[in-house]
Amino acid sequence: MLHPENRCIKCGACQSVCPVLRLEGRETFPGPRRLAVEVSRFSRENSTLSSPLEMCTSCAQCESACPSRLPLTDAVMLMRVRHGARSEGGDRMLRNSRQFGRTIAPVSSMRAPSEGSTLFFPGCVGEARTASSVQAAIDLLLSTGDRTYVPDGWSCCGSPLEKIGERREAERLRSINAPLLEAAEAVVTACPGCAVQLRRSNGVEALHVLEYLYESITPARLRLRSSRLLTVALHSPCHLLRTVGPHTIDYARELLASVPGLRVVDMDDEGCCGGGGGVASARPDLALRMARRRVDSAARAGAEVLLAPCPFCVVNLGRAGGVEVRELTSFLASLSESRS
Amino acid sequence: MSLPDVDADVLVAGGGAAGLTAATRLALDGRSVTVISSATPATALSTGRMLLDPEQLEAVEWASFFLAQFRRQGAYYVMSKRPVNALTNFGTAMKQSLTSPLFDWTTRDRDVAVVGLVGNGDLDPDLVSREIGRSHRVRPRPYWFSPSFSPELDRDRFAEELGSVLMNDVAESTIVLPPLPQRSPYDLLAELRKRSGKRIVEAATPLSWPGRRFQALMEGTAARLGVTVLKDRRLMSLDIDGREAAGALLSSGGRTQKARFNALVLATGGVPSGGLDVEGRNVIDPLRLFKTSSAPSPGVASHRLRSALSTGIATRKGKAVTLQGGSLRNVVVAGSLAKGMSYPLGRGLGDVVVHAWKAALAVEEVL
Repeated sequence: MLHPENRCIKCGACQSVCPVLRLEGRETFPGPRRLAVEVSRFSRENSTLSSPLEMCTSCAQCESACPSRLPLTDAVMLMRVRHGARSEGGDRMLRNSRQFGRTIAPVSSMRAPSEGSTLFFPGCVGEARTASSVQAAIDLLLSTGDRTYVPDGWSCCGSPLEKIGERREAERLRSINAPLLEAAEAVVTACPGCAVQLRRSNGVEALHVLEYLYESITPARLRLRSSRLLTVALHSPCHLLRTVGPHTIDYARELLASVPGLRVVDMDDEGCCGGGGGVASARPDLALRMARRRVDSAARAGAEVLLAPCPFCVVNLGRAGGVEVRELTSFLASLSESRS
Repeated sequence: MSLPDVDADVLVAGGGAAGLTAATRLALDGRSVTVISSATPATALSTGRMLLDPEQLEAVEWASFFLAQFRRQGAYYVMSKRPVNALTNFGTAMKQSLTSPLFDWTTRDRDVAVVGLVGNGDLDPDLVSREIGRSHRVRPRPYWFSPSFSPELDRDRFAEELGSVLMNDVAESTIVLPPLPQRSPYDLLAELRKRSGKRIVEAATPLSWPGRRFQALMEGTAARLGVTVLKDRRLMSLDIDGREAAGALLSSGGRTQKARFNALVLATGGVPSGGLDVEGRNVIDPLRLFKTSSAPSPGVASHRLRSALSTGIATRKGKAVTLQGGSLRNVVVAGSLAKGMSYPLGRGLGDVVVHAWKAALAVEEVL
């Protein structure tokens, strides 16, 4: 049982960094201090909270800013389960999971060997919504001589189901994946959410593809080159930056900096794409507003392409329009001369 | 597979005013310095104002270097010979030595209007007016303004609307505003002055933008001096070789990273910042590496509270003492993590930066 309320020092740092609060205002979204701490301190039951609780993207900026290291994101998710009715999107995810073992009904599968030593975990959103990016990542790894494979029968990592309180279904999925993950020498995924979930619930050192590319393959072997001058901006996915680790963004920057002809611009605003925490299905209007904010920032910086190393970010930012959004690994794949 | 090692002359744990001061001074001396930091430092939660003694050499050294650096980042401060009584967002006075024409609302001001912005909880003009009326003859006039535009998302229209209101609807010549949500408000405030024809000042406000701004200025200064700042990294353990710290293990998200250094500065702050932890009746080092001790200090009320607040990492001849009792010759403590720096209620940024400025010298002697 979480009791963050006992150690909150009321500094308000979480409130000042919350991207949803900054965009929507305190009347609509009271912020992590209210939702994660004050609510559980002062009220047992409050159904008027179901609406604001739906708006948390689980970006964990609050957690990252908290001087007392409170588990604010988990606390908000817990409040959500306690106070909220589940959305249609949540019901759909559960139905899909029970039927297909995925939160999104699979459309096609990846072209890859079904055996090898580096298990590539596509993830539900990866395979169903950003299939070409995931395929490009797999092809890139294969082209370097890596023994990448995608096992038959892999299931959703369980993260979205846990976030809506479906612990039993998440556990069922975990146990399906367990033997598959154990058999692999290395586990790699292009989805930060999956990487975190596989580490936490399966205890596997699941690496994000950026970590694998940088540490194991190394930038030199990728031989990245751009055929034309291009200006890009890099979006830092919340779960990648904060939960998988800040080193991943350092890796992304170094990989991009190593490409002659590529100019990386800084955006004047940092923040969440709006696609996480179930917000894209529960509150698509908010998800779109947050996406627009990010993409506008990229446009102001003069970027021709906005790169994001996360399928959720790519899908949500893509809704905004204005600047081309591409998944980072597939972008790197298109620049790699190790691919023939 | 592992993350690349962090290699530096000096590793500084803690990215607030103390850590960044020590790092900057060491970088000035030509050392390669890496700062690791996590969460929000107490510096970013402070008012960003400080009291410095103009007779103290280290204070003058700190100010002359850092204020010049701040100026290059667009922030104009001067160290005044005599402390000024700045007014806070509660209408109370606080002594401070760093003054700025843009920010000073002082007890000397007359013909003042305090303007609250609906939606901005930092300044309640009615509260302030009452409070000042209690201790001064002249009461500032309270106003409330409900902006149609967000200063963050729609800066130009916000400035146009507020500038016009201040010019036409507010009689007084000096306007006090709450801190505006801007990293660098100098331009916005200058524009409001131009549009309204009034003198615009900011109340000294904790837990708000001024502290974040000060933090950003310190980070900017460190970056200009070539200090590497790694955010969201924590010190997990030290590799101790005899009487020296030879290296450390850092956490980066779910993974770990090795660090190698010739000297280590511990500047992780006091209890609120997480540099010290409260366990039962004791204040301890959360890393469980170092001993803590309390500084003798006069005080009121609870002896336990006094001792808790005045506790810091134990040092011998300036070097940190481990739980085993030995001191590590290359580990120095800086800022609120040191004993006696957090009592009675935090000695303030002035004392912290001077302490860290001196600590950097101690590190130089080790290298």
